Amino acid sequence: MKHKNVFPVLFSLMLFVMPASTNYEMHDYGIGGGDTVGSSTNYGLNAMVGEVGGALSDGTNYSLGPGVIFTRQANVPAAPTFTNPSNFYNKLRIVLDTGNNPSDARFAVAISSDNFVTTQYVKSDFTVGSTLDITDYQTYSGWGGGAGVFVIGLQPNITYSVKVRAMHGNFTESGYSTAATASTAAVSVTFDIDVSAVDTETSPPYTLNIGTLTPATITTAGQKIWVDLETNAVDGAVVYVRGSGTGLTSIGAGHTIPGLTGDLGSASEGYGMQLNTVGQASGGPLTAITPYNGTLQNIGTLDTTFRPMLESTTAISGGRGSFFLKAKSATTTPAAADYSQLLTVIAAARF
Amino acid sequence: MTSSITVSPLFQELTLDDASASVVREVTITNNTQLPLEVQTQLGKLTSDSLEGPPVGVPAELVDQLPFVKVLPTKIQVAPNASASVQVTFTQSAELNPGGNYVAAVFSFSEQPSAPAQVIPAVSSVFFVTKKGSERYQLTLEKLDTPSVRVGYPKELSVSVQNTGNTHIIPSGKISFLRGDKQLARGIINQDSRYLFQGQALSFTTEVMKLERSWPIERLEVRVELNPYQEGVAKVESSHMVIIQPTALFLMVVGLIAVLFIGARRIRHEA
Repeated sequence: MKHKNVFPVLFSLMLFVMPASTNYEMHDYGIGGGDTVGSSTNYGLNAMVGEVGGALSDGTNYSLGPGVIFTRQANVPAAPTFTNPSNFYNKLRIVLDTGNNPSDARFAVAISSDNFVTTQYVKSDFTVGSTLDITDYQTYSGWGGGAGVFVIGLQPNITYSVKVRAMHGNFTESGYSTAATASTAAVSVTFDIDVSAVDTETSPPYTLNIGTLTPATITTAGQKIWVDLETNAVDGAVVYVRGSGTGLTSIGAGHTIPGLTGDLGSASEGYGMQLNTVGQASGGPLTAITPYNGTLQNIGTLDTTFRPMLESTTAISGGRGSFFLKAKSATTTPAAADYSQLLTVIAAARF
Repeated sequence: MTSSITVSPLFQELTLDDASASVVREVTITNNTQLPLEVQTQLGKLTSDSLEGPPVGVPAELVDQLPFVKVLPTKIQVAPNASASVQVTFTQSAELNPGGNYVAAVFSFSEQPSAPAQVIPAVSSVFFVTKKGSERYQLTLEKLDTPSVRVGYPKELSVSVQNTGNTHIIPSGKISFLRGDKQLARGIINQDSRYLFQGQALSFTTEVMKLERSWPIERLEVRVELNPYQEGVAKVESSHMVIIQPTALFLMVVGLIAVLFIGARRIRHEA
């Protein structure tokens, strides 16, 4: 009887002493335990009586999640794959790691543009919101499986971080994975003008000499206007052209050879622009817009209104188009050496 | 391909409320040529060329300043392969429409004409300005192309959405195929994060992703949830679609053929 009383006291003292060791400390511990499922017809029990407590022991290199709480938790997924696959400025692709969780496990994605000083969440429609609702937890296939999904509605030129956590039933939510980062691109339009008889790069000033106009004869300038266009804007870009006046104007003669839309061959005098070539490396396509896409002697007017001359309705790379300038004087057109016009060509992205 | 001048950023969004007397944004111009350039900045309001369409990319008229926007300096010298910045200042004005307003700053360089024709390249930087306090975010689901009966889930659905508010919106939302509350398939609307301007209607082709199989023949709720993305209220509309699994259809066809065959034999037998 005497021995029976002494042993529990010594055992308790031993346990009590253990956490106070010089080298180790057992965090938040309990006595006894059990981790099997007891079941009957009506009830099941997954319990532990006494346990190493449910507080995460976090070290520099490792962390320990002891006890039944951590045992029941879903696996922490690895960092997701987060990329900008095609120079996008408003969306990024995320592919989750399952962390070997079951296929019906659900995942939530946190997102931040300031390295999680402030945290937002990817909603079930893949936009970003400030709240995390239960409907925002989706299965791996709901997050697009191996192909992933796009997180949409993002701001241009921002680095975003994402991290993922999993759950598989009530009270099983894991901690967050490590974060992955990706950046949206800036909205960009690369736009250049060249003036040359052949397809080559030239520098400003972009001057073009139409030559001497013979009455009642169509003159096509030897040099062409070349336009380069490249953009990542979702709806592409448009190039507009506008003249400084209503046509080729001579201050000295006080006369203007008017801008003309239509057949220059049947007009007595006129001036305008016509597509020569158009193409692109990828995306687009780049197309000339009526009336500048005429053939034979059909031209589009160059006057004081901004008129669209080229467009791409999607993002485009390596777009390049060239245009002729054509003019015709009448026998009544006063001769002068200063017929001129200033053309402004503007590129504008479409969102 | 290198632009003679590049402008950054090309696009900025801002809001003006009564509390903010003015909002200043900076635009940087880079001269990529070997020549010093004088860059001129002009401003213009962007308006739609139709009642229901996005603002066009270039202003009808360019001026040095608008009642609610001014740029300083309007002309700036930019050294070869160097950059310089201008400040664009927006202030509250009765000229601002309630909700969305759109302004282009057009940057160009100019030289005196020295030949019959001279071409000047210009680039526009666009500002989406929302007048705070009077903005209204509102989307209307115009049309959802859902057949009432279909073999298997559709690969994609077309959703037509109109912006019936008074400012631009990035519509978002999803189409869910539901058995009760359980989502069996879904599609995400506007995966390209496109803007929808006031009055504008767009048809979004939405890819449908199967998450779970339906029963061989099952009537599912097709629920469309539309979010104006900013502070607007989500819209939810529902319809129903009967999904017939291809295997079920095959068995039905085989069964029908069998019934017809047996029926034909019986008729022949009786004859």
